[in-house]
Amino acid sequence: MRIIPSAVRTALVTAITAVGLTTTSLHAQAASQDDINALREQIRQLDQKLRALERNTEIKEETAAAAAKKQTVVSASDKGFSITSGDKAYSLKFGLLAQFDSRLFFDDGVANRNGFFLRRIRTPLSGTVGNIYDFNITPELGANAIASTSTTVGLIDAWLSARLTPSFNIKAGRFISPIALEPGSNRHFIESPFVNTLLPNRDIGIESFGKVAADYVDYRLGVYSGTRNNTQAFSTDEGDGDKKIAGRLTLAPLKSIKDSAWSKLSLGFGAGVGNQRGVGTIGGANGLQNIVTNGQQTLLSYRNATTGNGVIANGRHVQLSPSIEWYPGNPWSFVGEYASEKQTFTRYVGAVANNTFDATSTAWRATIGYVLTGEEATKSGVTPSAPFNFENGSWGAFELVGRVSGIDLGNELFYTGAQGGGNLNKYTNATGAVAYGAGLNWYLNKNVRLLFDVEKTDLTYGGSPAATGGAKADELYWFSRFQLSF
Amino acid sequence: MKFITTILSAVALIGAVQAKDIELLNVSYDPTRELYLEYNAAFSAHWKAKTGDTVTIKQSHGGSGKQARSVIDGLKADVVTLALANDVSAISKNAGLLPANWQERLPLGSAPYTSTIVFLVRKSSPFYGKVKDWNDLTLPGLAVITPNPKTSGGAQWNYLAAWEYGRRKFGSDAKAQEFVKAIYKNVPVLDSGARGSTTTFVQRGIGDVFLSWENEAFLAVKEFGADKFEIVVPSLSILAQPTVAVVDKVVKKKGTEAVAKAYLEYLYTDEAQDIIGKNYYRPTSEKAKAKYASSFPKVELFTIDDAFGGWTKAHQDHFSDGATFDQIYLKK
Repeated sequence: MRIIPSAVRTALVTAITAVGLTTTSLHAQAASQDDINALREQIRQLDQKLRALERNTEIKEETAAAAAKKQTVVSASDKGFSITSGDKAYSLKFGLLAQFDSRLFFDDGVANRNGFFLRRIRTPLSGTVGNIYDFNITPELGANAIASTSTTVGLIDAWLSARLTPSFNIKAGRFISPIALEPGSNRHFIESPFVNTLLPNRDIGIESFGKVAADYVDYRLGVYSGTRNNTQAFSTDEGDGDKKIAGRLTLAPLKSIKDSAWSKLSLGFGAGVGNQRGVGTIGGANGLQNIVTNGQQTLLSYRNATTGNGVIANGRHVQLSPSIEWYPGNPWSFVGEYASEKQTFTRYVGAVANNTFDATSTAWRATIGYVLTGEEATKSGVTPSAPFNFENGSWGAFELVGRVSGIDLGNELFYTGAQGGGNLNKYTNATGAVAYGAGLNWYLNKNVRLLFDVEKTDLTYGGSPAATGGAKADELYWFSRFQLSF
Repeated sequence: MKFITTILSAVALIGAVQAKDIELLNVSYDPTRELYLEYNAAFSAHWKAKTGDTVTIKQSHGGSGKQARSVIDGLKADVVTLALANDVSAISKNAGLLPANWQERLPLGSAPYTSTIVFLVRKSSPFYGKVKDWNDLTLPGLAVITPNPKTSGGAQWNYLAAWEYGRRKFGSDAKAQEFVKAIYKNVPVLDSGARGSTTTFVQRGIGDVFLSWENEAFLAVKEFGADKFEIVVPSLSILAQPTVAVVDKVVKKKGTEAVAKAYLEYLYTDEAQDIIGKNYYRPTSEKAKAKYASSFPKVELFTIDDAFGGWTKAHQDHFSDGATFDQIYLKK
């Protein structure tokens, strides 16, 4: 039932009044003051009835709206597909991250690297139970990290958390390690920079997290199984009994400066300390993940799986990673990151352990973004003000990105055994690299984007014609990505 | 294992030492908005001075019965300050969130202030000057505004006050039921709470008489003018005793037990009693009673225990499904 507009009500009352007055005037001679008063009372009562009718309708609508709020909501939007209970204490969300990549190398290094990749096909299932308990189960159906011939299916995330207070919450399971700023991903470019190859991606453990000091500080601190760097795959390292303590502090020191771009400045510091050990048997897991270039090509291989010659992780493992992020609004964004990794290694010849040594490797990167179409650059990307629509002539948002990054592997890895090093070959491997990249990101809408990157990497050593088996050369690639996410 | 224990202890400590900002949720009934707005500020200042902690109190208001239902259904109230003891008992009985003896934990049966029911009469009404007592509410053509007793605590006080008047005047429960039925025949709108009925009567201009909490009536006259409304005090009314309680299971889980308890205990202090009097609730401390004695009209008040044998029986006899209200209103 509709509410009768006040104008209609007034008109109705006026009409009734007019009829009453007309009647009164026609019978003016006979009409008494009592008649007029009776008519006035009739009008008053009609007005009251109309008002009561309106109010009852309003109450019914309020009651219906309140009841609707308690009903389960099924939602489909640019945020994904979800089912949420009326009180929001229970929810289930279906997500998707699909990345289809094309890789094209212009250098003269290893053959057969060009091709198409199902880089990531993830279907996260997340939700809330009992208002404070969250969960996330994310299978990986793509996971084509390096080689075009190997596609694996696995479990990327599986965790439960309890939101206890803003300053103290608990999370347990397998999830993103706190040490790196952007583990396993990169906001601006298709592939991660060198920093990530020295830091872990996913780990299994339990951590506390929250915001403290009036939300100026965001912390994560926990105990983890410890895993090889830069891999999402489960490995035997996680069951070796060694543990790692790791955490990350993120500070927003200028948060209180209202309406200032500086308030968005974020400083971070991630760290991890523990033991990391592999096994020395030929073909055994050495506890190490090979170092890769930004183009995901092997830059350093620690050990020959067939002969057993090389090094394994065998002791103390310390990682530090300060970072700076600035998303000041539009159109700029800046990210800087550094990583230092110190690991105790043991050199093996075949299955025989030789010397043990420490080596420290470092990496860094600086990334910049500029949104050509003027939208706000955020940590998760850019939401176009006019999504791509060919018929309407709107093209979405475009962002130019640039990156400089480098890596310097510990010299001890390449020292000979007599020198107390790992005796790794710096010609078949490389001792370091510096890469210069640029790209164009096209955000068709909030969920779909196309990315195009070109990056040149200069290797230190590596690929020397003088080296037996030297296969690496400086790297120049053109990568493209078509991504859908919600 | 030792170092893991150490780390987890350190992690727990980080959370513990930072818990300086405290938030409470007070789930209350409709007409207490203004009272608790002022009281919360006073308590926050008191708690800050006493402990250094910052306590923020969030408020939720609605019909008392509806509010109790929300808490039973999961609304995380640290404290409830409801219109009826029966609504608090319902939370204890149906959700087990606080013990059955909750009224024994604070003085005066956990009722730090009282109120009563009066009539607010519209001066422009043709019935102005004709409504003096409960029996005038049955006049033909008169429109009476009162909320729904199924959802509003205030409406239950109204209903029972009218019932007791009818019983005393006409001599039996059967006659009282006929009398109350005649009043409800004149009710054109049933809001879910007292504040909704205030809106209906004061802002939407519906009805001739509003059966109102005493403090709501005073606020309406203060806000909209004595030229528009007049408070009429009937010959007999009910002593309304809104009650307060800590919701034990919620505060234990949230770690707010101490501050929630202190929040309610502070209602009995001189400072709080003064705020209560200023907001037209009848204070219970002798000092504040004396100070505000002239503010409140003299009226014969009866209690729910004396007239109806307590809230449990009153609810069962009058407001449970199929009881007298359903008999009266569903057959209207």
